[in-house]
Amino acid sequence: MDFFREQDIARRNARLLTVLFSLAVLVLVGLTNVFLALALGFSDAAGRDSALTDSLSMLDIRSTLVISACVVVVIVTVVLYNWIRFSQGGRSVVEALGGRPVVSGTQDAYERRAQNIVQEISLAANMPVPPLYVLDDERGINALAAGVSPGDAVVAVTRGAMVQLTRDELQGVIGHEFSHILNGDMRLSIRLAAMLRGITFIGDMGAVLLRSGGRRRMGSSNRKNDTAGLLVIGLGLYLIGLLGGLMAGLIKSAISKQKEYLADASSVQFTRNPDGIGNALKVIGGYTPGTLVHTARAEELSHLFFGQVKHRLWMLFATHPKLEKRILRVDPRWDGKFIERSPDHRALEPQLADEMGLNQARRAISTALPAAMLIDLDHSPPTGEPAEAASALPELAGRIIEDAREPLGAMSLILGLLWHEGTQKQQLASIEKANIRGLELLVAQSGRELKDLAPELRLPLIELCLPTLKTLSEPQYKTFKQVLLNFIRADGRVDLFEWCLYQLVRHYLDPQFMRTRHRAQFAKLEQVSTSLAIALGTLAQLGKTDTETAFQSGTTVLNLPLTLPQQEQLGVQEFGKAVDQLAGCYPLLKVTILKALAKVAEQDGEISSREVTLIKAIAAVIDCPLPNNVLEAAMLSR
Amino acid sequence: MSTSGIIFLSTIAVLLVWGVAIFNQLVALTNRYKNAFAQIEVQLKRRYDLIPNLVETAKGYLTHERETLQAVIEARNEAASALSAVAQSGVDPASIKALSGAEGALGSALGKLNVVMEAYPDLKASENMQQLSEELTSTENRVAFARQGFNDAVMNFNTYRQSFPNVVIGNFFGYREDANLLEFEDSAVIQAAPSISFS
Repeated sequence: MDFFREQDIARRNARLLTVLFSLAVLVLVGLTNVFLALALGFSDAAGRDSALTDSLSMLDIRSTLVISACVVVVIVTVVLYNWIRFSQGGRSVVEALGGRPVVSGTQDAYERRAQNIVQEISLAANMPVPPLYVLDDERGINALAAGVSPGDAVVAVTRGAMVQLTRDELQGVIGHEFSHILNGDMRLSIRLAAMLRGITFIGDMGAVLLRSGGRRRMGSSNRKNDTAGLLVIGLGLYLIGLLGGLMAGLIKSAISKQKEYLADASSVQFTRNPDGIGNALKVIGGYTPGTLVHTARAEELSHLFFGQVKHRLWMLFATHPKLEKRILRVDPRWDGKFIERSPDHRALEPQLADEMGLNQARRAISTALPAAMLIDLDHSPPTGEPAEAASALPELAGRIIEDAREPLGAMSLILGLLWHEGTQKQQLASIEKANIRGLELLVAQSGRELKDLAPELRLPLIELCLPTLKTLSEPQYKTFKQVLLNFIRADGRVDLFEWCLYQLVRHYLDPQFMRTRHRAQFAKLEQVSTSLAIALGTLAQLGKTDTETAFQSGTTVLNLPLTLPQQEQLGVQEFGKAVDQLAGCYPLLKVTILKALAKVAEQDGEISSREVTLIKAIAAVIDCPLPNNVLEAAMLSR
Repeated sequence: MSTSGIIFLSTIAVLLVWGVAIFNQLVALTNRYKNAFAQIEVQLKRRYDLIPNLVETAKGYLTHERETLQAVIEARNEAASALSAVAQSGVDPASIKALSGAEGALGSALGKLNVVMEAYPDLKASENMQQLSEELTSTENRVAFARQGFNDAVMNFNTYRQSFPNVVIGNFFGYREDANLLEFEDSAVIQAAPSISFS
């Protein structure tokens, strides 16, 4: 195939059809105008028993203008409303479909292959690499591109496509999706869909009028003329909306089909391999699940997909051309035979992403956790039966680690760390409000188990849970954060550990879900001296030796004369505010601040786990990754 | 002001805006193909970084094929240094020629290794090797796609520059020359170059 020529043809056709569509919309709006003006004038005239000719003459310019303005404003509002409603970023669209982002360095061979292909094609298309998502539960072979602009575009493939297609075929499919991104097809289809809603809205108005008119007729008989007029207007609008919607729908589907041909041709341009996309289409033809996608929202977004999403009952409105036609365009010498390929059921089962990466971390912790727990037991007075307890410990550690790899389990572990016997009623209530199924039981269980967890293990446990929580969707994360806040506030006060926990969670997870912005405004340490004093003072209190000495050792690092604040100034609230202010320092100052904090912590000869947690949390809030060597150096220097 | 004056001025303004738009498009297209060229370099480098891994994995199985592995490593080093020479001296014909020669040698060394590995089913079946093979396939694709992406970008630029009236404006602003498509001095090199597969 001469793909450049095919692209030109498809592009020209799509452009012509778009113009036709806009014209149709304009004509329809004009038609509605004229009809309304006529009908209103007629019913006015009918009320005064005069002839039709009179009613036409009564259509003076002013009333026509007023009616036009009303119609246009209403339709434009409807179109704009729908436009905004459809214009979601690519990520949220795909996540609503149940997509899961493929992490870089994934160990799943299929995911790795798909990700490599995405990177290859973006080289061929001279485009930034879009994030890749998998639709895990879909066995049909399909893919989609979503997002309004190339900047927020994402590509998603179904598990079926990833497993069932060969490398070259998958390359063809992904090349097709890239064309949609590159040609701005998503934006176009959003516009068209919004305009289509504007037209069908006319019909909806008509239907409402018809219904209300019918009801009034039954009720009273003395205002027959009014009712008849209403019915006529309703019927007219309904017909305009119906026919117009039909026509615009047809044009929209024709545009969408042209865009598919264009994308097929572009896919050949990117891969220079007509067999890739051609064979992918043939496999789809011979594959029982076909391109069907089952997620509830798929139908609404059907224009974004690679192949038809639902069975086509009415070919006219299909968003995609017939499979046979598409194959023939790519491969004119096709003999009409599809490729039969039976589903590979084992590989179709979704696998947990980055399992291997987590496995390593898990193995490290699973050896460290029981050991640390045992050590902790040795230190505590041996009142119970240590032997029995020790044998139960590895099992518990194993279960904790097992839990931490699942989102629900990770949530329950984080919340379990905040579990208080005294306030469990409020805490349970907040989970109930969030309506996360099964979480109450898990939290109660992990709360009991984690009650005696050694303090130095809390931080590793949080760090183990955070990567898992990254796989939450945005709404899920927001709910979780709300529950977390409620947990912290359950007892009416915020202690230092709770503050640290919340800040760590927020720091690691917020960038996944929302845009965060920081602006440096303090260039000198003097500008934030009060906040520095509070931060150092709070940390100094955690030490074993004299608070004042520890505090002063920190000020020497800062080279700044500070005085230790009064006890009552060192509450968690003041501390939180102070650290927030420190976040506004220039990056170089932040390193100095962290060094001073490390100095304070090691003043008494050892750095306790509480101190480490606090410093890590401060580092998280001021958005300065803690240099590994800062704490190590402090430990070595003593 | 008379009507004709207004028409005259607005025509000038429209032409001016049009000219600016064409100029900007020329700049954008130039930068795009320059970036595409840089991508080729990046991908070649990625390929050179991957080969030591391949050799390391194969070593355990191919104890009797030391020479073949040695040849691959040497060819890889040769090509890598030719690439850095290109990066330093800029794109001149001599260094490009040296690079494509080294690339050809690397390709044939890899080809030989490939033939040798056919005789070791254990090696081919190992998970590590399968992963590496996927990475190598991807890298070969990337190198090819980067070249092709560069040529597509150059074609876009040339088509745009040669069309009327862009050619007039382009000439005025100094866009007089077509960009060059990427070709190889030695077509035999292309034939021998990246041909590696484990299937």
